[in-house]
Amino acid sequence: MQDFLAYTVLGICLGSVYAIAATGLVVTYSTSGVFNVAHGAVATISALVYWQLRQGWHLSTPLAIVLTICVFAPAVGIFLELVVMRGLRDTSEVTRLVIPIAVLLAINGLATWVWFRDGSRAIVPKKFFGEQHLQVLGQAVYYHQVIGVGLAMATAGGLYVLLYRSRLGVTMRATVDDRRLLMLNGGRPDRASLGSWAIGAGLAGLAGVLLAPQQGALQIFALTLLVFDAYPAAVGGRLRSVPITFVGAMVLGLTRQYFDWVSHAGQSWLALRNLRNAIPAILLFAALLFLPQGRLRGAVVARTRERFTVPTMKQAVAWGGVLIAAMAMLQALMKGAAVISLANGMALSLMALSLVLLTGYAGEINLAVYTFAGVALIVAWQLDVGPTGLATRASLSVTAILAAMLVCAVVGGLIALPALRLRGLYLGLATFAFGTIVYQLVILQTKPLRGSIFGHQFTINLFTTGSLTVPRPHWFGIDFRDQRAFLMLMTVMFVLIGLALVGIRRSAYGRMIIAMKDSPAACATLGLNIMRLKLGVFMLSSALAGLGGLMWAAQQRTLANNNNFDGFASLLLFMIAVVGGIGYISGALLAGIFLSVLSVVMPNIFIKLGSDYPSLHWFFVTGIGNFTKFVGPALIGIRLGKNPSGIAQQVMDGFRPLKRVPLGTAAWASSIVVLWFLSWRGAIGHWTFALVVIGSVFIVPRVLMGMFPERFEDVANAGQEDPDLIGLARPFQRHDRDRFDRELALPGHDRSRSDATS
Amino acid sequence: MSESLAESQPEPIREPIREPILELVDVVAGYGPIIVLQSVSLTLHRGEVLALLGPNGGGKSTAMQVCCGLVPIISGQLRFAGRSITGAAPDALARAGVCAVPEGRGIFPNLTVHENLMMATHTGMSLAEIEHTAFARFPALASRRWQLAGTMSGGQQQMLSMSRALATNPAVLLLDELSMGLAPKIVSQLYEIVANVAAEGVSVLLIEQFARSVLRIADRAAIMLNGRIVRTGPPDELADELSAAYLGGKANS
Ligand SMILES: Nc1ncnc2c1ncn2[C@@H]1O[C@H](COP(=O)(O)OP(=O)(O)OP(=O)(O)O)[C@@H](O)[C@H]1O
Ligand SMILES: [Mg+2]
Repeated sequence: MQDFLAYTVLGICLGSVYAIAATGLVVTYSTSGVFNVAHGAVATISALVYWQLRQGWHLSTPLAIVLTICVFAPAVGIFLELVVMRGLRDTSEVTRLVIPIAVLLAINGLATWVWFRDGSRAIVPKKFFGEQHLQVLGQAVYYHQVIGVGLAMATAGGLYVLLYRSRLGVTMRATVDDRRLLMLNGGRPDRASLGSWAIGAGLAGLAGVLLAPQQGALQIFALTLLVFDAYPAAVGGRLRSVPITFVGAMVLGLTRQYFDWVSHAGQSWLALRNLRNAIPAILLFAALLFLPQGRLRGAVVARTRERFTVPTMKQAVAWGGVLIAAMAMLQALMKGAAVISLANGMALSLMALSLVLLTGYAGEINLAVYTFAGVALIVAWQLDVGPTGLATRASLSVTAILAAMLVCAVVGGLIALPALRLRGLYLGLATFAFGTIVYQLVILQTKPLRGSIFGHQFTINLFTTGSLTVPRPHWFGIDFRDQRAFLMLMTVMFVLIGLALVGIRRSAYGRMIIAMKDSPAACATLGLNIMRLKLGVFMLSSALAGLGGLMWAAQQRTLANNNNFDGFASLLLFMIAVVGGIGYISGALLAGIFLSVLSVVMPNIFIKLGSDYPSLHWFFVTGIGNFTKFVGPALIGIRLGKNPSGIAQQVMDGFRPLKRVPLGTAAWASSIVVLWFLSWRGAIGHWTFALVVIGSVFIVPRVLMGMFPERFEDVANAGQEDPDLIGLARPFQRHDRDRFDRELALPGHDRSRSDATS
Repeated sequence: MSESLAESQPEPIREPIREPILELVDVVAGYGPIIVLQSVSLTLHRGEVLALLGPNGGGKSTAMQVCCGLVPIISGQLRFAGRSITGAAPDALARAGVCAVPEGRGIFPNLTVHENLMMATHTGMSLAEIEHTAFARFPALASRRWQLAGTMSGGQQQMLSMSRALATNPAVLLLDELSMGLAPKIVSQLYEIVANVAAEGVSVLLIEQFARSVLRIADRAAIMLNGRIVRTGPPDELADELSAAYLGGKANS
């Protein structure tokens, strides 16, 4: 009994910190409509700033607290609102998720760059009043924790009064409902949003400072995840209710402490040692299960056109051929190391393809792509390597691949099933929770799973030794341990899957998926079974994620369990896929290549520059190289995530004029082939070749347009014709549609309000 | 700016010689590159009910949004109580006494009735007072004080948005399609209220499709077609013109 009470006290202490973090999330959501994934990152960087002020520069504790929580964190919140979040108004749900993800990665990257750029370093945040504590029922309760409880009470009470009793708070909530109407009522929505972001970020900062000492030495991403642990409480309160969120946080804290109590801090059942860390994710999943279903609303007509043009099958086949040929030519010119990063990129592209189907076509969200890779890897490993640890086969077998895909599809179906009735964001959160659960309970599991079915003994080895290895394929008499051959194999696979996806998109099934994304309500009234449709897409995309993940694992040969699977890699992949162009096969290609090039090649270039010019070493290596490595992808995400059509579309638009000058295009293509040949034979340098090709991509379409002005007359004259005559005097064309969209102020070009799913 | 405007709020007397309170002078406005209003001039006098009529897409709602500052003016002038307020922000205008109930339901669906009414307290009137008058006017709202406004019926929502608009004690009331989707009984009840507040000296711009019923309470009417005011005059004279406008007749000239 005494133990029970003691652990209750500890649970309340822990719950209090969660309450502070979760209510901060609720404040920003209920006043801006943005689920601020970056909340954890704000907490982390605040904890670092506090450490810097208090322990780095030895300021007094109160001063450091005030500077961190009342000045720094709110300033971050205000900055985010002004620079980034304000632009998210009226954008699609995917965009509203991607941008905060990018912000999260950017802040964490920045923190890494500032505090940890030279590798690991021990930053050990201290508790308030150090180790001083009370003795409660035989348990040490630190003053730090007592302060946390007090602050949580004050926060919850204060927020309740603010949001529900004061005019300012009601104005903040009204801002999400209808900004324009608020202005007509004399309210000032801009100020209200600034206020709510400042408060939300301040609470994040407070949570960060309170949580940081729990960790011992501070680790950026781990601390961010600690803050994520509070999310179930906020979701339980439907991201709106402060009181429920508070209660949820207490439940969360108590559950964790009671688990510690019954399991003797995880020592009782070794297989469940990590269950403690998975509890928040499990509760998140449970909260999502019991969340009342949002009503389908048909009235929200999205004033947008997300224009993902779908190629015809013929075009797709042609582009696929071009890709394979180009990749074959390219790799012949490249050195070994470059081929490896290209192949890494290709593997990531394969994984990103699953998101094209799921997010690009169906508008659903999966934030755990790497988890499916992990699951696929475990399955394939069982079949191809076996519990003895000795490779029973030298080749990745087709059976293993199919089995892995099947298991992934089933697993994907199982997670999607409970969350199907929920909107995109919640389904995304469910996948994230699932990713965390699998990571903690399966991938970090060191005990092999033994059991028997019908007397048949079996052992499933998880990442028991900390890593798993799968063989590369050895098919058609080709040994794909050769990096170049494997790159080509993946390219061919990419093309084939891409063609299949285009086929799906063009089929009746594909049209149903698009219809479901555009208006679930309308679909329901037409008698489509949305649930089944969603489930099917989710399973198919999970299988693809598993396949891609398996290829990625085969590309790396050996995968360690402590990397890639903790959720951040999946967030990054999702973000880059959106940036690349989530509705396009080519978008997935760009995303993979981009991710690999940016994180590997770019820093290397700057390291080389740094060693070539030692006096500028800091500038190149730390200033630009490390900065691009840590922050680059995220900044690009913030910048480009707002363009829902992604980079792929911009690239394609650049090539569009070529269609009208087939001869010129053929001449251009053949001169590239000739140049390649010369370069391959060593007659011209590889760099010269690369520069000429890249330059010509930008120049040739323009030159052709200049040479044959008569073929582009209609483009040039666009905007001057009488719109009534277009379609009669000459055929209606793409640029006409663009013009009309522009003139009707449809935001399809640079911003989208694509999702009618809300 | 808003303070100086607030001072000039007119006292609620219906004067025999009408002075203009809200004027659009040669206003050209639109959305981005497209121009919807092509040189619109319209005057709303103190204490009158002006009906703005016209077919769909004529630009009525745009004109109203120009009046309350939501749509920027490209050229021309917007004048309120004798001074130019071109370019003023919507919230400043609202605080100065130009109160608009936009098309659709002008309520915050995720706030309770009580909280919706709280949004009208910026004029200084206490919430209790506002609720008292609102509930007296619409008893249906009293029992729904803690209900989310979005879950009420269309008519109740319209009642709520009207009470909120009236609670701010506006000098000018802009009502866009008050009757949309409502039962005739509620519509006539709302019109009665409009006539009453006008009698108390509030100037009302009433945008409607149901020409006939509006013309009964309007002092004057204007017809808008393709972004232009094609005709203004007493309601009875306009009845014929109106059918021409709706049927797409000659009025375009
Ligand atoms: N936000 C907007 N962006 C671009 N064009 C708009 C926008 N709002 C309205 N329009 C266009 O402006 C024109 C006038 O619209 P407005 O809403 O003012 O018409 P209305 O007279 O109120 O019509 P109704 O009687 O149907 O309400 C229409 O052609 C409409 O398509
Ligand atoms: Mg209208």
